[in-house]
Amino acid sequence: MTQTKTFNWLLYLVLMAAIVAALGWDKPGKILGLFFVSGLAVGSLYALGGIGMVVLYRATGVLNFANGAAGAAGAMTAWQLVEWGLWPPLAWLACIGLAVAILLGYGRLIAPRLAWREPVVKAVATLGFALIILGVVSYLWIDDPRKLSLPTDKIGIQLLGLRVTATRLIVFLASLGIVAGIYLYLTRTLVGLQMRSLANNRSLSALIGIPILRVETIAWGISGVIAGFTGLMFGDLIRLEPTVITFMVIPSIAAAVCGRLENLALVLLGGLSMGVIESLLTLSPVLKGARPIAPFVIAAIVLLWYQRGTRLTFDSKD
Amino acid sequence: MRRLFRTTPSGRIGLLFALFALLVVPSVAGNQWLNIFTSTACFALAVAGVAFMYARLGMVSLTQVGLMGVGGWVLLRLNHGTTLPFEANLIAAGAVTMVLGMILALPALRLRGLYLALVTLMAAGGIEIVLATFQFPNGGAGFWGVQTGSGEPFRRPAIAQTDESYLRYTLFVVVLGFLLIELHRRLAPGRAWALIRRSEAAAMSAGVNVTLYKTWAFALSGLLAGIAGGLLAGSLGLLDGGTFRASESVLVYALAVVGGANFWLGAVIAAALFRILPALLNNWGLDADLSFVIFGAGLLHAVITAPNGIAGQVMDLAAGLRARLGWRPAGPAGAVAGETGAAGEPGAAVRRFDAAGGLDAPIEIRDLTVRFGGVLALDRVEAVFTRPVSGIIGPNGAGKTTLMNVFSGFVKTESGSIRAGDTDLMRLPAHRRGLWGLRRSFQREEIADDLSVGQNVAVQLDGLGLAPGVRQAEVARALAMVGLAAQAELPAGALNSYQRRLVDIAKCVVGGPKIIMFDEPAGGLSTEETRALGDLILQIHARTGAMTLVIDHDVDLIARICEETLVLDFGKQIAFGRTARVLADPKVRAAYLGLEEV
Repeated sequence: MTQTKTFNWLLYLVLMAAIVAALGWDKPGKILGLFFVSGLAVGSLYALGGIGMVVLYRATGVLNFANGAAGAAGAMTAWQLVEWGLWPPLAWLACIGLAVAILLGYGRLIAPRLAWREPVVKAVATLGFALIILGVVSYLWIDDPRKLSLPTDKIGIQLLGLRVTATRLIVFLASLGIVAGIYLYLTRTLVGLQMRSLANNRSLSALIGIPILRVETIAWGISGVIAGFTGLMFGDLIRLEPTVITFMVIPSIAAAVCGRLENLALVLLGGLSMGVIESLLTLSPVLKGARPIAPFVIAAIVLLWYQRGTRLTFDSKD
Repeated sequence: MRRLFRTTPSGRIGLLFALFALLVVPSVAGNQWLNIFTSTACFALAVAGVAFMYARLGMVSLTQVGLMGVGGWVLLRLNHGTTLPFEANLIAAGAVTMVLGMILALPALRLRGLYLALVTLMAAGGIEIVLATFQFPNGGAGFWGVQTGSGEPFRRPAIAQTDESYLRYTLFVVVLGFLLIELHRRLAPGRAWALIRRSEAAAMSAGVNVTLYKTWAFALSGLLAGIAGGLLAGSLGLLDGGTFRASESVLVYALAVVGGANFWLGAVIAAALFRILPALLNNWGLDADLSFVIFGAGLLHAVITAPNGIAGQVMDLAAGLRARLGWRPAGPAGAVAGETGAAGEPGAAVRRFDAAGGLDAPIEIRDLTVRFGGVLALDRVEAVFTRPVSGIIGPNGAGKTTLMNVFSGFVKTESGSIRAGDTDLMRLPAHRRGLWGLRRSFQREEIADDLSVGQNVAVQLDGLGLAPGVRQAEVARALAMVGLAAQAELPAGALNSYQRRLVDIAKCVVGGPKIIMFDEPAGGLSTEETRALGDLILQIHARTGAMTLVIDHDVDLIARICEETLVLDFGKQIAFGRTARVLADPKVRAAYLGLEEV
């Protein structure tokens, strides 16, 4: 077992090195560095989205397609509040608060009615919820170019001779911090233990008296905070447009898939790698157009790699 | 053959509706609406492709609009670059997306459920980006050396030059597509899909080539998407990156569920919601974004309270209305019974099936070892079953079901062989063993609820290439043997649990079985039912010539029906031989019957 693990890590490192080398071979180090850093920032967003999904999926069994939509609603609201002259930090808080409220509402009102259905049905239901949010948000804010900028965009920090905006640094550190924080939360607290128990076996957990509704509510809340934060950062770093932020869930899912929907560290690694590869592809004149597919291709390859050698005959319930 | 062309009430209404759409709608619709109706018809076809995958196989495919895009691009490209007639280009477009569908089926052979949906979604994203990047055939630098814009103007089919006739043309092709799906549903693929949806393991052991039929489903779905995309491209005459969006695949799937994936009406409703509703909203001066809210709310509603979608509710309503008017009540929710074996003719009960049925040799298990990671699930099991009915017993986790799974080919062995006569079972892939004559039941009855009892049994024969008459007689014989002749046309979902068990047995005895394995057939049955089941199993050898292996925890049943018994404990064989002797063995009593002193 440990042998194959080491082998997988080595394979990953070799592949990443090969890709970076192939794409950035004849480019000056500084440019390579710039693209690498911006890739890390985008990748952090993918990873953050993926982490929010995995936390929720493990605890509640719901793969939530509405994360991005909740983030979009939050980000648009924050923009509107700033336009109206609200003190920006309050607007950012409102963004996170709204995302939490939206997801908590779904988690308390709708999700329990689907608690015993299969995962696909639960996921499809969140798709419906995402469409509702997206419809309302696009109705309220019709397509206009908008810009959400945080004061941290103007703060630059010199790192190894590169100027990195504080926003990017915050996003990157936040993704690391959230992974570490959730890891500690799951392993050190009672609720964390209960979440792991739910992830392991829902029916048994219910039988031994774990307060499922309470634990699930907390999970929805956590994923709401992550969704709001990710939406805000996405609006600042990439684009402030409801549809774009809503469909950020797709690369997020790709990142989550890299961690088999369970391992947060792998989700983080997957998200970051996707971001970096996607960003470096810009350097290649041939592959530039293929840039946005990178997350999909990577996730599909990873998924098939995980499945190699297994025979798909039995469901877990067969 | 007559059954194949039989029309159901729902089908008749569908044909009437198609006729109405074909004859009346194009003549009365205004110019703006002609195009909207054409695109509605195209999307109805694409939705039908997604819907049958979901309703029949339980697979979620989120690539449909991407494939439509490919179909559209191919059609336009051929139209600009060649002088072939429209129809040839349309078929070519369908062929290309059919091949793409087969490629998409590759992950589906390994992945299921959520993961499969995710991979298809990613594929859709990929297709959209590729199309947007290369921008062929309108704009960009052209493709295949043909500069766009320089080619001939777009040619519609000769018989459909105007918008009105093009709508009729589209509707005609779309109806053909719907009929194609219905045809599949009534024949072997439909039966195979229903069983795959229920359980792949059961499908394989029924001799269904799961790989083939899954690929087939994706290919059919892809074909429909390509044709739909081609027809839509023909209507628009110009495509850009925004015509087919991958994200719309998700909408199309969602609407298929909202509309009701089981019914033709569902696909029509879905397409109408997708194309006509936004147009209406626009006409009323409302923002079309609001249609998302309606889609989303409809999807939530469908998922939570209406599993058969709007169409299902309409069907229920119609059935209720018919019942109130005193007409003959329809089947459950308007479900249509497809082709089944004719009702039983019990007279033929004792006739042996002549397609090489029966096994005149012992079943030899040699040195069989299976390891799951660090656990030895079977440890050098050796047994030669020579009697018509033999038992396999042992405590939970002893490896009994694993042994059956080795027989079925679901589990990799570390060593060992299973031979029956001159056949080495280990050399055959799982579904081939089913065709060879290996039959089994599972601990849970593996019966597709949406097929009739007769169809459930007929699946077993689909791979054998029998003439329809022989097949029907054979199905009737098996059903008569278990006493379900009268229930042949009922949907399997309407049976009670004992009858379902009997269907499992009918599936095992139909069509010349050689080895039949029952995994806990008496589980959950009453004493009388267990007795009747035992009698039935005892008749199997005389009627079919097959050898039977029975796993059960009911030692009385085993003692009554099995002449030989194999006892396993933690993967080790602790006894094998005459049942009475084995059950008296102190080791067996200690391990299984719970007597501690050895």
